[in-house]
Amino acid sequence: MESMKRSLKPVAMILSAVLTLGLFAGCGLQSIPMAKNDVDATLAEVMNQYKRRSDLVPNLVETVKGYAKQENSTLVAVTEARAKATSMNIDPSKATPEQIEKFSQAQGQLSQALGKLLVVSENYPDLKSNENFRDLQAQLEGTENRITIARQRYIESIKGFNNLVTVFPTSFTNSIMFHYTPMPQFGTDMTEEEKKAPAVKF
Amino acid sequence: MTSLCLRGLALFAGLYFSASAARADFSVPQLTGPVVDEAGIIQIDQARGLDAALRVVRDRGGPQINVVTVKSLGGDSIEAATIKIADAWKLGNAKEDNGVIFLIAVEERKLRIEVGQGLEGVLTDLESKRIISNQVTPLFRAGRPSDGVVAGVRGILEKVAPEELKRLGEAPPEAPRARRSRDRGLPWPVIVGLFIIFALFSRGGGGGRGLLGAVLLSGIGSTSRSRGGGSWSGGGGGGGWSGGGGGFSGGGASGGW
Repeated sequence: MESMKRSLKPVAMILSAVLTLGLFAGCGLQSIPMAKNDVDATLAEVMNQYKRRSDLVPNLVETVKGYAKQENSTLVAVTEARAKATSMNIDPSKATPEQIEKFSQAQGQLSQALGKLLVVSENYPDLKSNENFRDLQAQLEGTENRITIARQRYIESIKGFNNLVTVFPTSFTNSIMFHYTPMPQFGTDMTEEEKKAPAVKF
Repeated sequence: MTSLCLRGLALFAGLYFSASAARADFSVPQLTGPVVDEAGIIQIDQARGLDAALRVVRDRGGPQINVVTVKSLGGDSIEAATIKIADAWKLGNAKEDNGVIFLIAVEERKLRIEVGQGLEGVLTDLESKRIISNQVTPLFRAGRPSDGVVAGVRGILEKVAPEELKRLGEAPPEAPRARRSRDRGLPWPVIVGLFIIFALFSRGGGGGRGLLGAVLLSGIGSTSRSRGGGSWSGGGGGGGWSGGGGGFSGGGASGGW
């Protein structure tokens, strides 16, 4: 009888361990890392779409230059803003909030510079009817929309992640397993800046 | 515990959705078929032709293309409204992300082609823009929205499913002009196209498909009369049309008329 009790003890321990694990499995053991991956992936998409925009800029600048040489300062501003924005290379999975904020600000400045460029190009009818320019406009417009959507999805993924790490019961799992802290929400400081920037709309 | 977790998550999801619903008023229409004509701008025979053609393309493993017309965007931008539809319907399949949405908002006079991630290479933003500005908006400006929708779908098919378009015998695109000129009856490419579709459906075997073919054929006689602004309501040939988890990331182009 005594020996049987002893042999049952490890079994009970394993059982309780499995049970505990089972409880966690439903409460963040999987969902928290998955949410973290989601945040990384959506941030990578934001950067990807910004890069796509940066790739369009040199061609746009060249085209505008052909028709509006006197707008040199605006063109230089765009080129410089682009250079600054593309010089920031961040690894999405290791990015610190400060890095992301700086990146976002640099891209915001490029948005403003591009907005100004498109406003002044309104004054050049030949440029406006140039097919190459119109194509670039269409591509830029598409890219701006992709950026908007990528940013929205990034914001949503941060929200999902933060809910998991701060709200019971997944927050409990986080506190003993992952020790993640909630992430600062993205772009809240930039929206004001963006409101000021001329909209890239045609 | 697990169920508590799920309930918690569901609660958050619920809160989130109710919050976003309160923010903007655009409500995503119900996905009843390839042609969701809430605004009632597509003529009934053209709607049927499009419906049949888009189903055939999809059934053959091609992209899932959806036409949506709405009366109003409810204060949203056309881009925001389209991505809401995309997220709700998830057109195309999850592996290929091969969905396309062609949204027309009548009150705002705006339209947009939204391209699924997997098709962004064959239907670029630029090509979408060209379809809109060269093929669609001129017809809308000329007061022929129904023809404009058909032209748009043809433009999309030319890019994302050129072989299927050829095989369809150009059925949907030719319908409007010929009907206009002769006033009654269908031009031969449409008849040939419908015949091919019918043959395919009846060969396909399933009772539902045979029925769809029959509806299509019987529909010709009753709808060839000229009828303005008739709308199609998913009825007869419906069923079996739902999204397969396709993802969208904002590709495409918008325009207005």
